[in-house]
Amino acid sequence: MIPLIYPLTIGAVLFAIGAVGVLVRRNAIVIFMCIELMLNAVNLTLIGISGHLQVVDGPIFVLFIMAVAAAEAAVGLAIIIALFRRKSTVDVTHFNILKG
Amino acid sequence: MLVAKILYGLFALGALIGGINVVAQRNPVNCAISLLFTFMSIAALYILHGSPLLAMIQIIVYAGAILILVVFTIMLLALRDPGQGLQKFWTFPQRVAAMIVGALLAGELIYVAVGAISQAAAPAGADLKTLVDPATLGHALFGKYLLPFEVASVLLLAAIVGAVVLTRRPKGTPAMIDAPHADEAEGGES
Repeated sequence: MIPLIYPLTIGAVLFAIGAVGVLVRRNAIVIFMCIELMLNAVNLTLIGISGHLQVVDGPIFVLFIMAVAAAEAAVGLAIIIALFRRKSTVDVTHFNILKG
Repeated sequence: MLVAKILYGLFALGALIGGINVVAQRNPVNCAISLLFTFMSIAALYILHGSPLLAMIQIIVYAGAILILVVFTIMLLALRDPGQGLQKFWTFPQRVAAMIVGALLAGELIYVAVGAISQAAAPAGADLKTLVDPATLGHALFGKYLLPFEVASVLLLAAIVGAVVLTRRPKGTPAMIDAPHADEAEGGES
């Protein structure tokens, strides 16, 4: 049986990598991919914990997170396309249009 | 069990390398391929955790649907310069600050995890193989979690409608603003 510390550590490191990507990258599509990476890290953590505690709730939550991720992908990429149509770029430094 | 641990380490390493490449690669297409690598590695980790159904769903949903959408968007936008958006990207202080914040975040999460492990003792006679077979998962999904399941379907419907509304362009606007740079083309639509 795989020790519980393995999935928790890998999930934490992957989540941190995704967070750094969101902080550092300027390309909106890459930021989106980093968000997916963070969601996957959380999924891995949930699977590891529920495997350890012998409950079925973790995989169920992973299923719901996947549904939410699919919805987020559709809407997020639509937003990116709408932004690109407006400014011809996906560089997020150009999108400070809400600044007063 | 040693084989399982070695495989686990291998796929975990693959997931981490893919994740680092998603952040570090310059071309968005390379980022997408690295992300695919990470998704596949995590699917393998799911199998090693005894939930093959979720591994298959991971491949279908993430690698099959979401990543295809991302690659399709990259193709659709046809960014003229693959390195677009990277000129100001590697500003040094910001990179260092982000690395420090990321390291702190990872350390904090691992610290909390190690603290939690001591309290979460595994039940006796744990058998991983029987845990998340599709039948158990289906009974839980359509029994205890029926309401969230239905809400998720409504959420997906809302996402479909939202995507259509967001990408619909107003009447009379050109298909794509054809200026190489954004700021001159502004004001084209009301």
